[in-house]
Amino acid sequence: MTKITRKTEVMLEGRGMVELQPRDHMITGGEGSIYKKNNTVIKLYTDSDKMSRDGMLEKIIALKRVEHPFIVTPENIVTDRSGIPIGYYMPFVMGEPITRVFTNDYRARSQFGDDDAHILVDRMRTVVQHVHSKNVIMVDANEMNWLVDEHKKHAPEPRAIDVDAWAIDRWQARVIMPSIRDWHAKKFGALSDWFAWGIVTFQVYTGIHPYKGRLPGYVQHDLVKRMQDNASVFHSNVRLNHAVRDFGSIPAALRIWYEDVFAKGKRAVPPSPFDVGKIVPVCGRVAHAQTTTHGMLIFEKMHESASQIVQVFDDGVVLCADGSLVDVIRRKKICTIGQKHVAVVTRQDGWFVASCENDMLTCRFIDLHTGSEEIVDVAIAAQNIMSVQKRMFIVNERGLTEIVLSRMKKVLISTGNTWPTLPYATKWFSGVGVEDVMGHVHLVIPFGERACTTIRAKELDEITPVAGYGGTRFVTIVGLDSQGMYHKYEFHFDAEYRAYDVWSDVVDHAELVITTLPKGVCATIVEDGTLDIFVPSHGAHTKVSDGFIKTGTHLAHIDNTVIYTDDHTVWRVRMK
Amino acid sequence: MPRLNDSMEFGKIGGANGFGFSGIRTEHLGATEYTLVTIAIDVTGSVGGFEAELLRCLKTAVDACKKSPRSDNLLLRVILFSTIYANGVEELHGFKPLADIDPQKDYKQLRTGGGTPLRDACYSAIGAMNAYGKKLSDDDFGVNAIAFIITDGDDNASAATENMIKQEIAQAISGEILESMVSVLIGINAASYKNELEEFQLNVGITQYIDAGDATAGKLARLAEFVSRSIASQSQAMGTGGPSQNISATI
Repeated sequence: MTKITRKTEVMLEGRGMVELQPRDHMITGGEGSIYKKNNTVIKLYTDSDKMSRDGMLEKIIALKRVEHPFIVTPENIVTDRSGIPIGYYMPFVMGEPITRVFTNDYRARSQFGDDDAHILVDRMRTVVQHVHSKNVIMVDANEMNWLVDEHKKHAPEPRAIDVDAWAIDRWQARVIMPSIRDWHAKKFGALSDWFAWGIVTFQVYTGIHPYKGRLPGYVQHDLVKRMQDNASVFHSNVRLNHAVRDFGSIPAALRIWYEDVFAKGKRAVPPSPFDVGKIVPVCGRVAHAQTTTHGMLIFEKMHESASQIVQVFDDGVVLCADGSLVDVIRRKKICTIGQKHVAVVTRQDGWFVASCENDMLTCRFIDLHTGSEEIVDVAIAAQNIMSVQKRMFIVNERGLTEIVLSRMKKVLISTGNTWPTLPYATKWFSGVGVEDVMGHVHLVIPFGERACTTIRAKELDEITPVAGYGGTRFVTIVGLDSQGMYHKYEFHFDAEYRAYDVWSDVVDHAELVITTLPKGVCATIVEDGTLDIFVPSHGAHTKVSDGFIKTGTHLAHIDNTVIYTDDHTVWRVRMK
Repeated sequence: MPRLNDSMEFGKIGGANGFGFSGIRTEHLGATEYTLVTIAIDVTGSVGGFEAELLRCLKTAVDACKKSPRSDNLLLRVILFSTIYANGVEELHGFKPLADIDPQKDYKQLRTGGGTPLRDACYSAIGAMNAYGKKLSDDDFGVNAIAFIITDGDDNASAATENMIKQEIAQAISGEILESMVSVLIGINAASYKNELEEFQLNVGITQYIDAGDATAGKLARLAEFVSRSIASQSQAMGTGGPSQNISATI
C-alpha cells in the first residue's frame, strides 16, 4: 500500500475497523509507512505483496515468543477492507530516539547522567539476552531501532523496535546498517548482535562511535575500513573532540570488553555495567588539544549545565544560577538551594551543604546513595560562610568559627575553634580574610587540618582590598590605592605561615582567576589566550598560550587537577 | 576579541570581500559530529505574493527537523538573498543548533523586493559550509553538509562568478573537509527559467536541480517535507554510514 492520502479504513485483526487519515502518518521508511492511531502504531508495507510473499502472518505469530516489557513486538496483522494483509500493528510507546542520548545537549537538558547510562545499558543487555534465549537474532539493532523511555526519572528503559525485521526460524534478516555490522563475522548470530549492542551502548557512554575520531591514515568516510582494521577510538593516535565524554565513566569490566572487541577483534558476551571487574587505569581521552610553545593544553569536558555556573567549590561541586548544586565528579545533582552564601563539603557518603538564612546557619546532609536529605537543626549566628579545603567556617560577631561536621547514626554539627576578628573591619574572600585593625592590616588564613593564622601584612596598609584568594601557602590580594590604581600582591608563606615573601605590581583590573593546587602550583588567567602556571616556592613560571582560555571564567582544582569553568561548562585541564 | 558571553563567532568565506557567515563557537557544541544545513531563500520582488507560503514552508521544514532522531546533530544556517541586501545575502541566522531555534517566533514575515543574486547565494551557502566545516574538522568533529537554494528565477545581479562557486563545490565534495556534501537547487514558480537553472546547476556542480512547480500551499508543504527528509537522510549518513543495506544470507 502506498502512503495514504485520504481517509482509509483498515482492519486491525482482533480489534476491528479503524479509519486512518493522512494526519495519522508518522514516518515513511524503506519498507513501509508508520501511522499512529490513539495508542496503537500501524505499519503498512509499501510492497503490498510482502505480507503473503514473505509469510509475515506466520512470522508475526512466531515473534510473540520474544514478548518482553522492553520489546515492542507486533500484536497482530492489519488487512484492507477486502481482507488482504497489508501490515501489522503494535502498541505505541513514548520514547526518545537513543541517538539523542548520545549528545551532551540532551544529557544536560534531561539531566541524564552516567548512573542513568549504566541502567539503560544494562537493560539493553537484558533485551539482547532475552532475544537470544528465544533463538532469535536481532541482526540490525542499530541506533535507530532503540528508543529510550524516560518516564521514570533516572530509571530509563529501552524499547527495541523494528522487531518484524529480526531473524527467527526460517525468516532471515534482509538489511543491516553498515555502522553496526560486524565486518569480521562469517554469519549473523548472537556475537554479531553483541557487537552491534556494543557499538550503540558505547555511544550512550561516550557520545562517539567507537570507530570515529580522527586517525592518521584514514579519512572521515572510512568508517567501514576502520571497522575492518580494528582501528578504534582506543588507538593511541586517535584524536577526539571535546564533546566526547570521558571513557573513565564506563565501568571497568565493560570498558575492557569494549576495548577487546573494538581494538583487538575479540568477540564475547559483554558483562553488565554493574559487574565488578578487575580495576584498570582510567583511560582518558583527548578532548581539545592545542599545541603551545611550552607543550600541549588538554581540556576534557566534565560537565555541562543548562544554567550558568556561578561558583565552583573544591572537590568538583558547582553552584548554578538556578540554585542547583552539582557534583561534577560523581555526576550527581546534590540539591537546589535558594541562598546566595553557600558552603559545601564533600564526604565519602554525601555532602554537607550549609547556608546563611536571616543571619543564622542552616545545614543539611545529602546522602550520596539514597539522595535523602537530612536537615540539621543548629542555632548558630552566621553572617557569612565559606568552605576552605574540606573545612567549613562561619563568620559572625565573634570572628571566624570552624564548624565541625560529623555523621554517626545521624548528622552532628558543632562549633570548633574560633579565631577572633573584627566583624566590621574584616573583608572575606575565598580562603582568606583581610582585617584592618586601626590601619594595620592582617591576613586571616585557615590552613592545614585544624589551623588558622593571623599575620600582619603591612604592604596592604594603604590598600583597600577588592579581590582576594587564599590557597596552599599562597594568598593574593588585589586592592585600590588612594590614587585609584589597582595593585596586586602575591604572598608566599613558609610551612608554618610565620613568614612570607611578597611580590606586587600595578594591574589594570581587580579580576582574579586563580587556583592553587595542594602541591603548591598556581594557575591563573590574566589575559585571554594565556594560562600562567607558576610555583611561588621557587619562582618557576610558564606561560601556556591557548585560544580557548578566557578571562571572566573560574579556575578551581580537584586535588592536583586544574578545573576551568566558563559560563556553562566545567573542564579538566592538563598539559600534555 | 569577541565578548565572553557571545556564543557565536564570525568567519569569512574564501578570499572574496563581503561574504561572511556566523556559527556557534565549537566549544559550545555538545555532540561529536554534525550535519551543516543551509537553506537559502530567494526574497526578490517576484517572490512577492507567496512569501507567506514560503515562510510557512521554512517553518514546517525546520519544525520537522527538530523531531528528527538526530536533531541534536544538526546545525542550521538560513540566508535570504536579494539585491535589497548590501552584499546580496543576509543571514537570518548563522549555524545554530536546532534547540536554539524557535521557527514560529524567530522567523518573521519575509520582506521581498530587488533583483536575484543567485550566484552570491550559492557561493555564500557552499562557501560558509566549507569554512565553518573546516573549523569543526580542525576541532576533530565529524562533519558533512547539505544546502538548499530556493529560487524563482535566474541570476541577474551577483558579484560571485560561476567559477567561484564551482571551486567551493569542488572543495566541498573532495572529502578533505566535509565527509560529504549535497546541494540542491530548487525552482519554485520557475518553469520559465528551467533551462537556465539546469544549465547553471550543471555548470557549477550542484548535486541536483528540482523543479518544485507552482508556489501553491500543497506544493510548498511537499517541498518542506522533501527538505526535512533530505536533511534527516544526510545526517543519518553521517552517523551510521547510511541506511540499512541489503544483505545476503551469509556475510
